[in-house]
Amino acid sequence: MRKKGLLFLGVLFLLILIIYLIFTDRWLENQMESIGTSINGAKVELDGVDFSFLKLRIKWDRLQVTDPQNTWQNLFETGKAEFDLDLEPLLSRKYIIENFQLEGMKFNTKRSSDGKITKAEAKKSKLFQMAEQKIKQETAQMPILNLQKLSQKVNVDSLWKLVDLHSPKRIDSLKSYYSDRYVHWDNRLKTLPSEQEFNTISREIREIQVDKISTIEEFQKAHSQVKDLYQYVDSLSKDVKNVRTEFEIDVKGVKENKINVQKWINEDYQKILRLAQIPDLSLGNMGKLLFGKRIISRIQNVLGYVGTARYYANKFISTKPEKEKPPRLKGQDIFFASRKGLPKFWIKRISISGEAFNEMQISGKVEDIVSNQKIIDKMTVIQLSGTRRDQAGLRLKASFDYRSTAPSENINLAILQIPISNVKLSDFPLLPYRLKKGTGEIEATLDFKQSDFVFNMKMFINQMEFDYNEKTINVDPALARMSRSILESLKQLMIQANASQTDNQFRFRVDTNLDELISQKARAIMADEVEKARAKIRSQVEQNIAQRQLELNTLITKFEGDLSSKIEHLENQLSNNRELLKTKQKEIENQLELEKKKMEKKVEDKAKDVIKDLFKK
Amino acid sequence: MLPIQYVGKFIKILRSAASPPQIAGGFVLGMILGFLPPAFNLITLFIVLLIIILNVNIATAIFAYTIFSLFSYVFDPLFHSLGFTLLVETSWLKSFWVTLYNLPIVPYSRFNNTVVLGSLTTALILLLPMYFLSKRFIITYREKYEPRVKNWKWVKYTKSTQIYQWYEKLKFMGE
Repeated sequence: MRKKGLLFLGVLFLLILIIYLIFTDRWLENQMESIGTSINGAKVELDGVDFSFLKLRIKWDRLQVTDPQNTWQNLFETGKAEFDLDLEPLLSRKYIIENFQLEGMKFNTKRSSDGKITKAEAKKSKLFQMAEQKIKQETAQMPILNLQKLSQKVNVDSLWKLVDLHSPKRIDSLKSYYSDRYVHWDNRLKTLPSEQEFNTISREIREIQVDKISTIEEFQKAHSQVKDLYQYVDSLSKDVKNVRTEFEIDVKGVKENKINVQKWINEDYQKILRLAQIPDLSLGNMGKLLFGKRIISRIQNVLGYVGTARYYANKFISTKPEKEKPPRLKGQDIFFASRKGLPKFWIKRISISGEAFNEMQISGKVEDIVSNQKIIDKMTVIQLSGTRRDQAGLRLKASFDYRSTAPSENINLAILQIPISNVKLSDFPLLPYRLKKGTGEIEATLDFKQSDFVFNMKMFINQMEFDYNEKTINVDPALARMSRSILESLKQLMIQANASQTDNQFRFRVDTNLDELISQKARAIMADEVEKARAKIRSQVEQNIAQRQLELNTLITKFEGDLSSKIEHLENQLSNNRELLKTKQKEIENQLELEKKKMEKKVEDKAKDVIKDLFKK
Repeated sequence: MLPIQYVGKFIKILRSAASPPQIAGGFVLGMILGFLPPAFNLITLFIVLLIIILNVNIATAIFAYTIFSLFSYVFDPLFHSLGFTLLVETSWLKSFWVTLYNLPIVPYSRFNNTVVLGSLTTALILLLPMYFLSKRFIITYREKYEPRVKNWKWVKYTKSTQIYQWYEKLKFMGE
C-alpha cells in the first residue's frame, strides 16, 4: 500500500466526478442516440439530455426519429420527456422505467438535415427475409405497362428470332404418330377378308340352286352349306366389330389431340406477347398495375419494423445465441436468465400525447416494451387514437406477442375522414395528375404468426378533385387527355388489397373500381397499335404453323376417312352376304315347303287311288 | 512516441530503483489492462485501483498497457471465440454465469461480453508465468547487462527527452 497512491486516487476520484458532472449528459445523449439509430436504421437525435444522478431521472427537450424510407423527414418527433429509473434493478444493470411521458408528439415532420446513416448490414428476421424474397418475386411478375413502349411499333420480325415455338415440333410429332397409326390400322384391316374372299362367299351362296333340289339329301346338304357360311360370316362380323370399336377409341383420341393443337398454338402466341411486353389489359391486372408497388412497399416497411422487433425480442432472451462477428474490441453481449423476475429492460408504460395530420390531437399509450416478455408474461401493446374538429379520426391498435415459441403480431389501423391533398395516387402513367382535394378512409389489418402473415386493406377516397393544370412530363398528350377523361368520370375511388403468406405461398391481389374504367379507356387508346401487333403476331404464328396444321388435318382426315370407309365397306359386304344367306335360307325353306306339299299331294292322291280301288272291287 | 523512446523508457524502468517484484507486478497488471477492451467497466476500474494502491511500478504498468493493447487488437477474434465458448458453449459454466449475472453491481463488469471475458481469461492464465518471467528477466538484466547498457549513447539521449522528464515526475508515486 502506498499513501501517495491513495492520495492520487482521491484526487483522481474528484477529477472523475467533475468530468462526470460536466460531460455525462453529452455521453448519455450519444449513447442513447447510437442505440436508437442502430435500432431504427436512420438517425435518432436527442436534444438537451439531462441526467440527474441523485434522482435517477433522465429528461430531454426534443427527440427526433428519422423515417428510414425518407431520411429528410422524421417518422415522429417529441417535445419534452422525462422518466425515472428504478434504483434497485439498476444495481444489477437492469433498466426499469415505470412511466414515461412523451408530450408534443408530431408525425412526419421535416428535418433540417439528412438523417441517413451508412448502414452496416441490416438486422433482418427470417420472416422478413422470406417475405422480402417472395415480394421481390411477385414484383418481378407484375405486369409492366410501359405506355411509351407501346406507342412504338413492335418489331415482330426481330422478336421472331428470339422465340422458340413449341407447337410446330408438337404438331410434327403428332403427324408422325398418326402416320404410324395409319400404317398400323391399314395392316390390321389387311388381316380381315379381302374383296375377293367376300365375292367367293357371295358366289358360293348364289351357286346353291334351290329350285333344282328335289331330294332330302340335297336339302340337307344345302342347309348345312348355308349354316357353315352363316357361321363364317358371323365370325367375320365379330372381327370387324372389334376393329370398329378399337378404331373408334383411336378416333376419339385424334379428336382430343386436335383440341390440344389449338391450345399449343395459343401458348406460343401468348409467349410471344409476353416477349413483346404487350400487356394483357384484363381487369385482374389493373389494380396491381396502379397501386401494387406502393402497397407492397408499405407492407415491406411494416415487415421491416416487425423484423426489427422480433430481432430485439429474441436478442435478450436467454437461449443459445448465434455467434456474431462484432467489430474489433466490441465483442458480443450474451444475456442470461433473470432470477429476480425482472427483465434486462422494461418500460412499463409510455403515455403519448401530440398531434398528427394537421392539428389532429392524438393520445395513447405503449405498454410493456420489454427485453423478455416471458419474464413478465405480458405482450407489448400500442394504442393510439386521435380526433379532429372536422371529424377526421385515427385509431391504431397493435400488439406484439413473443411469449410463446410462435411469435405473433397484430396491427389494426383505421383512418377516418382524413383530407387528402397534393398526393399522386399512382406512378402509373395513365394517372399523371395529383389529387388536389379529397377525403380518405383507410382500414387495414396485418396479422403475423411465425413466418405467415395476412394483410387486408380497404381504402376509399371521396370528393376527389385533381389538379389538371399540373404539367405532365413524359406523358403522351393523347394519354393525358384520356387520363383526364377517366378521372373526370370518377366520383369515388375504392381500393381493396389482400396479401398473405401462408404455407410458404405468397398471394397478392388488388381490386379497384378504376379497373374497368381504365381498362376500357386504355383498350380504346391502345387498341390500334396493340391490336396491329397482336394481329401480326397471331398471323405470323398461324402462318408458321398453317402448313403443318394442314398436313396434320389431311392426315387426320385420311386416317379417319380412309380407314373408316374401309371398315364400312367390310361391314357392307358382310351385311350383303348375310342378306344373301338369309334369302338363300328362305328359298330353301320355301322349296322345302313346296316339296313337302308336293309329297303330301302325292300321298293324298295315292291314298285316294287306293280307296277307289277298294270300292271298285 | 518513437519506438526508440519506448526502448529507452523500458531500459529506464529496468534500471530504476524499483525492486523486481514491483516492476513485474506493474507489468502483469498493465498487461491485464492492455488485454481488456478500452471501454470502461468494473474490471478495468479494479485493475486501475490495484495499480494505484499496490506498491507496483506504475511506469511499467503504463508500458505494459501500451504494448498489450496492440496485442489485444490483433488477437481480438481469438478473445471473442474464447469468450463465446466460455459463455455459451460450456454448459457446465452456465449456472455460474447466471448467478453472476443476477448479482448486484457485477453485471457492470461486463463479464457477459465475449471479448471482455476472453481477454480477461487469457490475461489471468498468463498472470503468474508473466510475473515470474518478467521478475527473472529484470534480475538477470541488472546482474549481467545493466553496466554495459548504461553507457550506450542513445540511452544517454533518452534521458534528456520529455518522456524521461515525465517519468521522473510520476516516479514519486512508485516510491
